[in-house]
Amino acid sequence: MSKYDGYMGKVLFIDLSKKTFGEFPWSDEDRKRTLGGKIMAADILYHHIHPGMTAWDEDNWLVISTGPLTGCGVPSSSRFNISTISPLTGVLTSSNSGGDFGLMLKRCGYDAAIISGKASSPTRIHITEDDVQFLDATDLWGLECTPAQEALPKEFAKLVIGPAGENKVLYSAVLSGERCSGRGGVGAVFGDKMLKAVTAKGFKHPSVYDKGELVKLCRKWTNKMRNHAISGRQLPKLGTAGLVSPMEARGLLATKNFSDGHFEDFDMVSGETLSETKLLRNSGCTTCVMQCTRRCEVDGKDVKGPELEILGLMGPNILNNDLQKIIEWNYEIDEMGMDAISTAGTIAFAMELNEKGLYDSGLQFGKNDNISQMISDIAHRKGAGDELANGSRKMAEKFGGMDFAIQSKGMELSAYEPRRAVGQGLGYATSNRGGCHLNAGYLVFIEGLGLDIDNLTPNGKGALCVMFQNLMEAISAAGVCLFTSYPIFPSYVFDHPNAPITKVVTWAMPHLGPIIKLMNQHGNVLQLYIPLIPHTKAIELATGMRMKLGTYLTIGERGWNTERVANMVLGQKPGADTLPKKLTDTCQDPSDERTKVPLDEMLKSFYANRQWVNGAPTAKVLKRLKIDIPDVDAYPYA
Amino acid sequence: MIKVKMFGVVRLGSGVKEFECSLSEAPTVSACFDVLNIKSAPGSDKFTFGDSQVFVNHTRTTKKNFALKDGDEVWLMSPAAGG
Repeated sequence: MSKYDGYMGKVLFIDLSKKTFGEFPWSDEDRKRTLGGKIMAADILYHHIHPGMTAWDEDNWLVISTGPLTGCGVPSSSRFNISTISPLTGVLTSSNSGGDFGLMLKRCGYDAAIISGKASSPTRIHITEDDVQFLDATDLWGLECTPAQEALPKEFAKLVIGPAGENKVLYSAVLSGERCSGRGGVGAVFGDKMLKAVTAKGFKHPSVYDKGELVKLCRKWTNKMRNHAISGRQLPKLGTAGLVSPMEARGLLATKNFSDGHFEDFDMVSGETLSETKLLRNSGCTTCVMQCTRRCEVDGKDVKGPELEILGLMGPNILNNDLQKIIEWNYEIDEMGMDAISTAGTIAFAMELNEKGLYDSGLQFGKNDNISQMISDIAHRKGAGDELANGSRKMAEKFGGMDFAIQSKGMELSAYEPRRAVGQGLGYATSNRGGCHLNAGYLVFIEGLGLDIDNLTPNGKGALCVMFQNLMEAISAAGVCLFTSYPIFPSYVFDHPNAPITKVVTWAMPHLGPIIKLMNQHGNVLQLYIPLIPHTKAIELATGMRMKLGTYLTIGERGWNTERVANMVLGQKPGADTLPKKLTDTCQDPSDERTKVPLDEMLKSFYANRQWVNGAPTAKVLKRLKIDIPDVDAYPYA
Repeated sequence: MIKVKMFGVVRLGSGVKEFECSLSEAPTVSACFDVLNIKSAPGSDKFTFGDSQVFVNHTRTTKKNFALKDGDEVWLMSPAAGG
């Protein structure tokens, strides 16, 4: 049990090989150090992994974890996380999702569940308050994600994989309802363990330290989100799909496998056109005020519509302007149980390989009549689909084209073209799990989309990137959606984008590097509460744990460093923080030398801010953050 | 002629996707909003230069009285974010 409210106080350990379960030791000190979610998972995995360990090892663990705010009535707090060694990248991955599984896991009395071992036949794990059952899932094996979930009792929260996970497609997803844990191939690890599904059903609720005050805080927080330009207007009205047009305006819309940032037909696949011609209604996660999901129709069914990433990557990035096709592909990818970003990115890469005569998969830019078949072939590893199922980095190793394989650490980039948002490029390169826009720190938000700081200057980007990465890491670990971070920026600057104060803010941010560097390195001294960041107060009121801004940022920093040092134990070498040459050596606009990612220059600043050497946390940093120094000879900075 | 296109909340709120107007009607970016507010349906949201992001020929401008010239394409849009 825990002395802190908010938590259920237990971590479940399940051994699939032995079909046994028990409690995993996790102390209040661990809770204070990691909060929960992905940082908790990184800490658990870091203390378990060893050099040479791979995603397919029997003792590779899946860690499904929630945060202290999950289930406590805080806005947008139904999130949970799945972490493991990624088969796509070979290093840690963490995939965060909405859906109801995290809430139900807590109702069963657990903050997290660790799954070890491998089953010998298709298996479903069923978790309740008192028991864990290992059930035969032969009848479910082979089913797509919706039929698999429909075959299970409605009242259970569910995690399932589709055919892609069963066939160990390296970027397979796990679905909870319609929400995907997609990035990094956690579904393939499920499939390798012959784990088709995990279900849960419980009735417990976390206690709350100061319910009255938390309700008051949440009421204010919800009102603020509802009245904010981003969380209250853009996201409910347009969803993330509303980014297509602003990205086109700024040359950020990845086009033809990131060869350009503009697509002439962008409006045919924009969020506005989606709203005007295809939208049935909005929906969203439990406890969320934004309801940013678009509902669309496929074959007479009301299904989850496309988000920005697939609109961009299955639209402009493959020279496709058919919105209905994207809606259908989005549905098919979900049904197969694959990560939409990596699926689409790998398809675009295969198209360029074909164009350059390196490998003919049958895929061509602008040709969309064979995409549906390819999605199915990838999931079932048939024909060329078997090659694409390994992702773009492994394809490049086999067929060539590494300079235009749009990935970082083996994970495909999302739809933001970083040559027009160079800080985002730095984030993609340094992201621990690979080419992820969120783990990257999402600087594109201030480099043109929400705010308009100089998008091409490297100045200040290292410091800003570190600060945003740490903050987002902590927000995620608490169990709330990252979209709750937008109101950290006062709505005024979005409501008045041309006002003098907005201009001053946007001008100043890149110049604040030295000050932000001090915060990055000595954040713990900020023992104060800033109303703009209500997450810390919510944690205090939910758990009773003292949580000021400095502590919160330090926890985020600890998570980032834990993931990094774990990756180095798994074999990541200095020099892994990189991008394909297409983005660093070729200008998007040949007449403007600044339209490429000045990665080397920004990396120096990034590493200085993190007090790292060649991409590795030093022993001094690890000691400050209370992270054990890795017990391996190969770690060169101990 | 000036071509004006609306995006984001500006487009959904005004109900106007695009329009063309003469340079005399919209000599500046700010004047584009006056034309938009006339063209938008009664009861729809009204927008001003102050609450929107403005691009002229793919370049952002924050100058209210930015002078337009014949053939310019102006985009009026709202700030956005996502993930």
